[in-house]
Amino acid sequence: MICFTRIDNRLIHGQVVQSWLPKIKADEVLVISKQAAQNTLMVKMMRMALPQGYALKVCSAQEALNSLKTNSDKKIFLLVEDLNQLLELTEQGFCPQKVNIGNTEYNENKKEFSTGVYFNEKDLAIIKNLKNKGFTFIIQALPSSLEVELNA
Amino acid sequence: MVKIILVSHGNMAQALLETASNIGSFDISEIPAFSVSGKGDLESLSAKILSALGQDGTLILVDTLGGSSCNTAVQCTQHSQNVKVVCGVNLNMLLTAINNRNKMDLQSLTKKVLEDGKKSLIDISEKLK
Repeated sequence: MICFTRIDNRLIHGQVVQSWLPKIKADEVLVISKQAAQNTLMVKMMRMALPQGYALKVCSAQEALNSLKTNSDKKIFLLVEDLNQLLELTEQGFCPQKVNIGNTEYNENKKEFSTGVYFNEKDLAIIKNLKNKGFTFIIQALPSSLEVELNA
Repeated sequence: MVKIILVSHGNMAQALLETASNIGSFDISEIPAFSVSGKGDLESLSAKILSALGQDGTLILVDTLGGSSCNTAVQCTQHSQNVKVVCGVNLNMLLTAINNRNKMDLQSLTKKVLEDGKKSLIDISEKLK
């Protein structure tokens, strides 16, 4: 079962290791990132950064489905690199969730919604689409930050 | 001379460098100090690190294992054989790195920085008992 879903283009990094993992009781961190899955150095770094006791799986949305479909008691912390890969998961039958938004990729054509959170028109269209399917999106960098629901 | 680069979250890298310059005698402009900006633009951080690499090897000192600072620095090692990344930098480690960068090669300097870093962690109250 999924106990927490977060969008974070930095994947496993300080905020996740120091603040979210201690708060969310998870057994496994499932990282959905096509590019990280193909980069052995990145996977090694994530393994090193993850505290002992957590299982780690890094894969594409497509490959993640088997892990997500099996009915196990394993508590999964789902870490998705970006909205496109969340959409891909959804197209494969991933159920609507409350999604935490941590960090998204920055470029100058995107609008800032919060520190570290940037979206362009295409991103907002995906959010709208997923909201219609029953997802909710909460911008919250850290457990101690204010929860702000994203209205797109 | 081994190039030293600092990378951290927030202002730590810059502040650590300025603090070190009040203790050690060196030219602060020779040590680039970069931070992970609030903008979260890791590509430009990566570009800055790559353009600062030295010819005789580079030791990148970062704040914390698995942080974006560390992850970005490690990605930069893919572009060069002669770059090492050490995490958990403190004032002692930075001063060791700066004071020995023209006396040692990258391998031995890295070893010494790690040794001095470990030696710098002391429960003084326990020692004084």
